Amino acid sequence: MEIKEFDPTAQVDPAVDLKAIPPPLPEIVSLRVFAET
Amino acid sequence: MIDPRQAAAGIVGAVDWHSAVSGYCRCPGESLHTHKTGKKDCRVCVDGVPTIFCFHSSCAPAVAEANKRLRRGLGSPWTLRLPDGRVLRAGDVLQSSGAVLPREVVLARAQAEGRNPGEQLILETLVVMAERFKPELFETFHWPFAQIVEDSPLKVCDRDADDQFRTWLKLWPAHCHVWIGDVYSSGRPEHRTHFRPVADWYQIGPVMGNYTCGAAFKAGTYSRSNANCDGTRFLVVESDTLAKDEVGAVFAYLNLRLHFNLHAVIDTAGKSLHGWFDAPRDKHLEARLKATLTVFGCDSKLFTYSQPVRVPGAYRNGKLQRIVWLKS
Repeated sequence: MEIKEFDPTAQVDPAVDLKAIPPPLPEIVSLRVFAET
Repeated sequence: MIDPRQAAAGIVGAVDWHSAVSGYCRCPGESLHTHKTGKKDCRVCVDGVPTIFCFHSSCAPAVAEANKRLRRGLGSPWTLRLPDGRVLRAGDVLQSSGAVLPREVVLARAQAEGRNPGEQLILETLVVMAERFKPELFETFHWPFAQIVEDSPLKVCDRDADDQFRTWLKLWPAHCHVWIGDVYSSGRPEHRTHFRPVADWYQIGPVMGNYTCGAAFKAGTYSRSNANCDGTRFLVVESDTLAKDEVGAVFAYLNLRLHFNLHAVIDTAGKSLHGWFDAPRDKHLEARLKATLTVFGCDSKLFTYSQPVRVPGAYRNGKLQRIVWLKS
């Protein structure tokens, strides 16, 4: 098993990982970028 | 009284119900997917916290908007008759055992914990999801003891007691005051000698007791209590029920899926292993992690940061408490 190093601020919410709730939206959503996707 | 399944279908379209309260549906943001869409990529559930969840991330804004509509739609009272005749109400949680957790119990638990009822409902839903995931956890993340030792980036398990202890001390920032003692070496002024800076312990060695804590303490304290912790801490994951060949799956899940940094795995010279991780970044995440890890079989006391845990380099019934996995 290869254990990995992560940015400590990147901890994932288990409620999101186990699909109890949807992931939060990015703090800033650029409408232009969103419209282009 | 609205039918919650009809209300959900009114928002996401046709639902392929695989249980009384949960089913697969078309993602409300499917047109935004940047990868191929599978039949089971998007799911809707109506009990607990009504939620639409999609595996894809590019559709998040559309899913968030649909979730708002779903929760608004299911915000007024509703009932659902289950196949066995029981009735589920808005805010009740259908547990993995099939039992219904009534919303009154959810509210009472929220009140007892001083928690927002909505957050309590998320925690109760999370418990159900964690119970469903548990068999997959131990299969997917299987990391038995021998493999943990073999996978260690630094080979430390054969080091002697002094070396084990001093290697472990390096996990701590130099300014930290660390407690080392036995369980009752706390609470009276004479116990001040058990709370020392890391540099002092480096000189003294592993002779003051078999235990330490995952948290550092304020300078000058003599009492091992949460109030005296200085804020520097690790999350020490342990279990009284999972064997050494099982608990590694929890460590691997925490690292690979939840992105918690693993610093060391310690063999307690008993039946268990302890995983030393970064502490959760906030109280919110901590409560959710506690609910999840408890379902997986971990000790809920691990979130009491002043809880004593085994220190490497000390002996327990003639056996060395030692680090078996250490990051480089």
